[in-house]
Amino acid sequence: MKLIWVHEDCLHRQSPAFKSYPDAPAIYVFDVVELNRSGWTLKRIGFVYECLLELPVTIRRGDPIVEVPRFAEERGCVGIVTVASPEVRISRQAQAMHAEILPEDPFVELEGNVDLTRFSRYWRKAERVLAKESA
Amino acid sequence: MNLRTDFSSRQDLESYLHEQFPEAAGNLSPIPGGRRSGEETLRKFQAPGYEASRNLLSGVVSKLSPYIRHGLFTLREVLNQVRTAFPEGRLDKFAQELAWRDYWRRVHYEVGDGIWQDRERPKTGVAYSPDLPDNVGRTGLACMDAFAAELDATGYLHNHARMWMAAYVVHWQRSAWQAGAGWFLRHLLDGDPASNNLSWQWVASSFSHKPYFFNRENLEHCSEGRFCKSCPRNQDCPFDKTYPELAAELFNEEPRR
Repeated sequence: MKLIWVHEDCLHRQSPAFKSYPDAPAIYVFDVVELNRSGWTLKRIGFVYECLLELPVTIRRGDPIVEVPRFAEERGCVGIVTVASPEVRISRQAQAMHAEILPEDPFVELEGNVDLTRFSRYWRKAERVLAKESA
Repeated sequence: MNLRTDFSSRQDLESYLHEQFPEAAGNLSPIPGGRRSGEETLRKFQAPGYEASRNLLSGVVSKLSPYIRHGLFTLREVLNQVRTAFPEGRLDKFAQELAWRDYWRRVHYEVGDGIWQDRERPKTGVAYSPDLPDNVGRTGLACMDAFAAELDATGYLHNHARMWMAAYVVHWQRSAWQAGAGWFLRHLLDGDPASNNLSWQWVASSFSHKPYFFNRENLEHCSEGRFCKSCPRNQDCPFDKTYPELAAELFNEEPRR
């Protein structure tokens, strides 16, 4: 059985991790070092907390790299799974705990290389796909 | 140690969070977290009105960004639900705004922590202080002080208010966009480094062809005059100029047209 590491980008029962492992236990860890570094106000912590209260998830505070594997061991889980994030901090933590990283659900599938230097170049491709869908 | 999950009220939760996170400033936002609140917010969104009114502070906007930011809705789910709810509605502009979030996120995947650095050379010719201005929330400008107070109290601001405030901090007060971006991330319920930082860079012109700025006429129109009439600086408004006058005052390079 795997353990789902829920991080701040995937606070939903329909996230790819819960969909792939519907019976797996899950944990969220408030990263205290990061909270102090970024200075998140209580509003932000509270919003995340209220999202977590609707999930089947254990909540802890500390260092995710320590707390997530510790909880996996407590629950007898073999392996950790989470969802990809562009945040370098989150992907480093996921790698440090050797987690399986599931891709996010895409907004729009674009073929070939996508030039991201300007929105207009991305949009020329994305708009065509979206227009086809609504036609 | 597991944190509690049983609370009798939001006040109970707030007291507990103060105990557990004593360094975190402020109180809970009036905007509640959770999928159920997100669904209620989505149900209220009259998407066909978005395109015509979104630039007005009183206009139709979805207010879904805190829920999208934390993955309670994917962008795709929002688009599909809105299309289903309004099959005949004009939704192109709203779809494009969802695409902006997808675009910022793709850029974040590509550049990683580089979203904290200028993506390009700013086109202003101006030097910036690394610090946020000392007088945030106490500028004497009714609009800017009201936006700062709303950000502090709720963790949410209309997008146009964010743009005005970012332009004011960067171009009028000459603070580095990173200082402003960090300030927003401390407060915004929807604060994610991709949308937030890259939008600040768009305003600052380190991720766009020209700086974004505004004048009083624009702000007064889109706020429907709610700030200017009672503003202590009504007769001394730094925004009460034409765009060419402001460009000459704010920038050392000629902004592109």
